[in-house]
Amino acid sequence: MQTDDPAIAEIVAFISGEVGVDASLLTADTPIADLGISSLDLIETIFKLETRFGIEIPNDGPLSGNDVTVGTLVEHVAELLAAQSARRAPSA
Amino acid sequence: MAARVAITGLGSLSALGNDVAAHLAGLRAGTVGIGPTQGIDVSAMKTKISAEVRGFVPEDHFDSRQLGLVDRTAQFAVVAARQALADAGPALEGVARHRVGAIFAASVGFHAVDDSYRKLYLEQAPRPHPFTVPRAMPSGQVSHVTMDLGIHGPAFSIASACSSASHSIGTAFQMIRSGMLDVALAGGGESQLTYGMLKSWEALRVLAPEACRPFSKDRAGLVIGEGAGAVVLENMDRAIARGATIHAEMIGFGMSADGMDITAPDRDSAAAAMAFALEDAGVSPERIDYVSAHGTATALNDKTETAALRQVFGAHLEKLPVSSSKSQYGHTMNASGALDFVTTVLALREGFLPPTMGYNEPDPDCALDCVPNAARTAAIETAISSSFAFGGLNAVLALRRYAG
Repeated sequence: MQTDDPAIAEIVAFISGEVGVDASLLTADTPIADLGISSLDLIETIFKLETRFGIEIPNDGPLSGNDVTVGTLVEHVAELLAAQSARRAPSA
Repeated sequence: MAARVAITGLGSLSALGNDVAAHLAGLRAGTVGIGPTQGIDVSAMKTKISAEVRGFVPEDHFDSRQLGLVDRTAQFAVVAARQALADAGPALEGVARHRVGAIFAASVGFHAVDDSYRKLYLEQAPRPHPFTVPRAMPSGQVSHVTMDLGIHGPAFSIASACSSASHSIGTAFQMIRSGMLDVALAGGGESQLTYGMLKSWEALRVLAPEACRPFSKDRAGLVIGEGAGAVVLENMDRAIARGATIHAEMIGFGMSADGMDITAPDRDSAAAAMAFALEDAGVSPERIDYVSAHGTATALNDKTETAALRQVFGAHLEKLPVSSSKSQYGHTMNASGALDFVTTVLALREGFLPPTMGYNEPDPDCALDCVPNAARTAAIETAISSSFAFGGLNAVLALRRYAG
């Protein structure tokens, strides 16, 4: 999780604001559950990420398990965003 | 002295069929009523399957003036209640009007809400249908049951999410046992198969994409079903005196509240509800021969329920069959406790264990004899039927075979 990447930083900042956890605590290896975010909170956070970034996060993707880390969440969103902008870019 | 309580009438509609005979045949054959959703357009959804009531023609059961006032969920409840009372024979004859009650699940008329709001918001209709309120109100089903069957005593609805019908049957049981009622109709109907509710369940990320596989390692969530179950409960002495057919005896009711989380289940609280049902019935855990599980096939429910069963039954769990009929008729939410109760009565009466269908692979977290993939013949005497609802509201019903 490259926190100096502006796209990553934006995702981290958004999650930090939504879940009320300081961005400095959102390190890649931290399990989401350790931040006091329940599985239900995670579902709502995923919904807010989908709405904020105009993406669709699949049910059966890497976020479906019970041991999701901050890095898994942020990188999955970043990948979906990258795929989206690739689709939107004019073909050469 | 507390009265004994007989079960003298059964009614059901589900994805297994539209009466109790079809329900029994489906349980025995291991029929899976889950399939591609036909009643609504699911092309914009990821989840294409559900457990629908098929071939139900409302006009066969209600006249057109009635129908405009009865939501699909209440239609199911009324039809199941009619079946139960027809099965019980003249159970209401000669009973004082204040000694016959009706207690049913409180289920929102989601079809009315969905239809009216679509017209209002999407089609910019100037006003919703004038019957939206009476069709949507959660007490609608029990009101229609009383109107339809001529019941004039205590009648109300109970809301405890997926335990609603179990709480309803349990409360009716207590009212007869205490001597307050002679006869009660109890159960619950539910149809959440609307565009809005299916999308809402999908958003909660608990729906299985292709099958309902309770207790299987590869289980992937629940499958929404619809339907209704209803029973006639009756004072045992009265039932015997009038020569009624007694399907089984209801002997206990246990309840608990997790007080923890609005969706996640709690092992200790689920165990407490089962233990209280056994205590109320006056039977030891070793005497239980079958458990009709809540068994939703979500990763968390089945694991937690297994741990709760282990806590209550200990070593006896090794030889205690536990199955989930949700694998056959889906999760019918507010109706599920009533349908599972009917299932358990049939298992006791007919001497068989309903299967858990769709079972692929053992899960160490769900080490149970879940009667995988085929019903089995078994002479069972005593059983429980469990409901562990969202929001931690638990209800467990205990039953015994009636030998006559």
